[in-house]
Amino acid sequence: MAALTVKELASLLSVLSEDTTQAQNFESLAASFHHYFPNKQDRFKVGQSLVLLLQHRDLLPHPTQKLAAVFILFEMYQSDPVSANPFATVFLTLLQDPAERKEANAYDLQSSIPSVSAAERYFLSNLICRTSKEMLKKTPAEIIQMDVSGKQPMDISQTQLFIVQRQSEMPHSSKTAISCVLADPESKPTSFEHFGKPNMINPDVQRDTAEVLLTGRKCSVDHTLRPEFIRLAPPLHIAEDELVWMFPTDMEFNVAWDTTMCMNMSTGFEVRRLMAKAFKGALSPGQQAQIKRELDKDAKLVYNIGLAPAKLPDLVENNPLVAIEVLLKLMNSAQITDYFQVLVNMEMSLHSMEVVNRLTTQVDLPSEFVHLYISNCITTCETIKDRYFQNRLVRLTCVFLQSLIRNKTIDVKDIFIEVQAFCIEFSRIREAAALFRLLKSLDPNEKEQGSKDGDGGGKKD
Amino acid sequence: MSSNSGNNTSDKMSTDEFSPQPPVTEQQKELAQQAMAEFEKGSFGQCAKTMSQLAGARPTDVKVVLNRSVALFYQSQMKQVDEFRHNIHTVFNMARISPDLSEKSNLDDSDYAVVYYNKAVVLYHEKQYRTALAILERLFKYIEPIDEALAQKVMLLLTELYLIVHQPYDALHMVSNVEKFLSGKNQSSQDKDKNDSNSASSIEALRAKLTLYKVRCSLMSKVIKNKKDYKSLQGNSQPVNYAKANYEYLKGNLRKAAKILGNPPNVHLSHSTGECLAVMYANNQALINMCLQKPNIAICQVRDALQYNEKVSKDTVPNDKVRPPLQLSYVSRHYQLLHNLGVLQLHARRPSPAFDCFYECVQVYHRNPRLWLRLAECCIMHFRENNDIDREHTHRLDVVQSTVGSGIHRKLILGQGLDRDRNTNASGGVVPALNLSFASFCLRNAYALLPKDPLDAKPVPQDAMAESGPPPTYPMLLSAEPGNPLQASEVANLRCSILTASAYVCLCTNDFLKALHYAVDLLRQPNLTGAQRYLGHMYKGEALVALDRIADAVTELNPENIKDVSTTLPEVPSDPEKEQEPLAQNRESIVKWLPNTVQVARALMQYNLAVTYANRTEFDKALFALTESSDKVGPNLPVQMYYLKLYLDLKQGNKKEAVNFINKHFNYGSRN
Repeated sequence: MAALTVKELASLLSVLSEDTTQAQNFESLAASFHHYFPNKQDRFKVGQSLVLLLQHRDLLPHPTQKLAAVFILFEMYQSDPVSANPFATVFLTLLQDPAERKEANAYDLQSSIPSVSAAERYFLSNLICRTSKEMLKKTPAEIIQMDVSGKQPMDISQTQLFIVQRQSEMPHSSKTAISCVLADPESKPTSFEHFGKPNMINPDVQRDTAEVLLTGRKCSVDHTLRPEFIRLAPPLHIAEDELVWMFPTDMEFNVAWDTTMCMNMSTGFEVRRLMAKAFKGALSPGQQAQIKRELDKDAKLVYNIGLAPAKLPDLVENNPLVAIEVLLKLMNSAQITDYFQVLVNMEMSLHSMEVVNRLTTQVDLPSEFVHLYISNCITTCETIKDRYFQNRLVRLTCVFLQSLIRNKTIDVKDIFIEVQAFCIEFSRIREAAALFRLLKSLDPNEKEQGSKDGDGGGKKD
Repeated sequence: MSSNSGNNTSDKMSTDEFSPQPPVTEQQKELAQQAMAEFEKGSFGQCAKTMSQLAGARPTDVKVVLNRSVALFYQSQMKQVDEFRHNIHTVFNMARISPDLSEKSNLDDSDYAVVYYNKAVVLYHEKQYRTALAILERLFKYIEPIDEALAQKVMLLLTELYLIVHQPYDALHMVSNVEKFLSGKNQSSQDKDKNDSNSASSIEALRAKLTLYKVRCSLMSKVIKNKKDYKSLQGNSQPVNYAKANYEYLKGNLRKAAKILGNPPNVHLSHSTGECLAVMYANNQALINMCLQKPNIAICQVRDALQYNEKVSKDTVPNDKVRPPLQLSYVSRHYQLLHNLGVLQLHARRPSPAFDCFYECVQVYHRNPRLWLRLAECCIMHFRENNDIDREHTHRLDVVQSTVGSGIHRKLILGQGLDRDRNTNASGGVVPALNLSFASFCLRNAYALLPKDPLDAKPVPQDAMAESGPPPTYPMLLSAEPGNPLQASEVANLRCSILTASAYVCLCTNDFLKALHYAVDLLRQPNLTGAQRYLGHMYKGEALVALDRIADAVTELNPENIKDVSTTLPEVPSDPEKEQEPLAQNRESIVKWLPNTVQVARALMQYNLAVTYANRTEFDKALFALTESSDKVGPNLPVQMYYLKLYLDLKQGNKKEAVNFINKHFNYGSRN
């Protein structure tokens, strides 16, 4: 916040000088104040300075000066309601009964302002209530000498209430600050002139003091002291392994030679040709045998025959036997799940069932896969519209399931509920009824016994 | 590419299903074998000639084109990197395959595994680790069909890359893949040729390297899972020694670690690996010295390392025209060294140079939350050197600033307390500078880079849990480049530190609501150090007062609740079943934090309680708390206590008492 300039301070003090405040009435005081301080934005800093001057009795020693200062505090914001005046609490303090004030004679921003006479209070209450313009025609001196015995001050309790309410809305921490300027008058004389007159006003020192307190960049007017927390800084983060340890590398990596250049083209080529055919139509038994022979010869060949997962359905539909061979060869590759994925999601058919069935008998398929396949079959049966195809598919599914159960490929417990519901839904079909009987014979309670035996037996096989 | 193969039986057959190459003639086959023999002998000039001849006969054969460029590259002593890179891309175009194996890759691409491998090798040497890794990871999916020798190379390069990008578990997985592969090979080769001692010894050498990899993986994941591996580290080579030294360093056997590192090597570039051992040596010794509580020596050593690094970088590339061979392209360690230097400087209480180091690093490692925290810590330390600074004499000199006037006009001007430079940071914080608003920016970054707080995670519904499959087999790590990745517990600790610092910075920048949120978040964390819990309550109390919730603040600031103010977590007893030996790391920070006794900590908290009472105008309570806390806080009271005493006296109208107090404590002669 900017402080007053030396010139502004001089203007302010001239308005508040003892002579002026004796001679001029309030209206002309206001006029000369507005003449010196026409800008609204200066008013707050002027107000702050006025409060500081009011707090220090020695700086505005004469009662008329004090009254004039209070008047200007009011006058600056007279277009707003009093409760919106930022210095409203000053009026509040001054209007308190002097008897009350003594008790709370704290060294506060406001309460350190010396109390005022009854006449001044009368004037102030009238001012706040804006009752009569007449009073402004008087000089401060006249007001102070006014006889107010018998006259009641105006009732300003409403305004007081507003001010108090506004104060209570502010957080405690915003109301804690006190001024950093502490009066410490010397009781011992510092010069001959002062001897025996400890309270003598020295106009030069007075002006200098006001200047130091109220002007300049580091002036004390907006310096405040407030209770301050001790705010401890946090400790440094302790990282257990933050610094980078450096390791020399142990390996050399160089550009490599392709050793497969001009090699192994012939057999691979022939198999690839046959496979390409196999995606489009059935192969002759001889051709199928040839593929199997070549695949058996070279374990890596299966990866080079152009069988992407997306092509698997074509192969299954056209040459289920070749598909089985290839899948068995691929069983150990990381890609096999991709192939399973395709197999599960392809359209259900006799061939796909045959492939799955054969696979279950030859290798341990992941059980999620088998379950997924079964539930796919069941869903397909349930959703198909064509009655003829539906019957056909249901029969196929039932036979497939029976075979799975008989071979102990799956544990009936895991699919019991779904399969039972399936059988009931299609009970009109003979195979479904048969499957249902098979399920019943493996009733879960008995079944537990049975499955343990069965599992043991299955493994032996 | 026109298909001129006469074998086509179907018109519809598309070209990509068939190799459109004419069949290989016997003569071409011989040429190919001759070229390969020449390549293996190392006569690259001869090999390049042979390959040119072959390429003339088979201009569209992708493999021939590739091998020819390989031969030419070797002939140039691996200097013509640009030409080689260009040739690789020609190969990609000819084969119509995706250069980064990204789009619609399929098994057929494994035919071109060598091309991808070579591209990855070039990228590896050019420091583009993640790109190389991305290619090889995709290639690894089709590892089965790939020729064994090449597959092994691919897996080893993958291991190396995983270690470089600090993914120890992936690296370990890859090592076990190689091992599986080797054991498979052993079995099959037993029937074929038992007398091949050459390959047996090379397998032994490979196994030793794998052991080293395994040790490095476990060092990186900060658990020595298998001591056996460490014990079986063979040989006296530098890579082995540096790994051994790191193990001892992490175990806290610092002198042993220093001894294993041996004598300082000469500053020169190794001609096999393109590395400079002296840089690593100086750096690692600095780390050891840091743990020996000698940060200043450590700083000098890292500075040396930086110099060596600079020198070697210049020597390898003296000007733009000279290119070093691919495998010798020096990888500068500048940023790693700078990172280490920053940490050391910060712990040597030099926040300003530390800030400069970290700030340069964070441009490279901007995904590292800890680095952002360190930047903020530099700012905080610059702002408040330590917590005893309030007790310094210079602050006491400020309590009475000056006197004005004389005689009846004489005034004392009191200081405004310590917090007078509020609102000094107007930069908005994005301007990198040692101030608190930049600290606040850094802390926001740090927090955003952490994974979601597990406390905020919604409980996973049962069925979703079943769908998401089995939980990951190894613990999740948070990348903290250039350092080793963070385990979950370290992430939790980091989160606590970030929250503590955030609450502090918010208080300092008058952002009280945020400060409150951070403090509340901090206090709900399950594993707090004593100091963090203490600070959490203290910060929360201050924020509550500022937000006018004084009653809550009074309970928050109860000094009786303070039981511990240590800055380290209590040692967690490790699970004896797992036989995982936690490494004895440098848990204690070498920067001691104050207050370090519960008594002083309580006294400081009680002072803050006094401030809280004073805010509520309960001056008697405030004075009582102040008196009690000043008795216990130790010699040289924090200056805030003097201010509060003056404040309370003045507020209660004891001007005389205040002036007496000033006379007594500040050697001020009042003249009344």
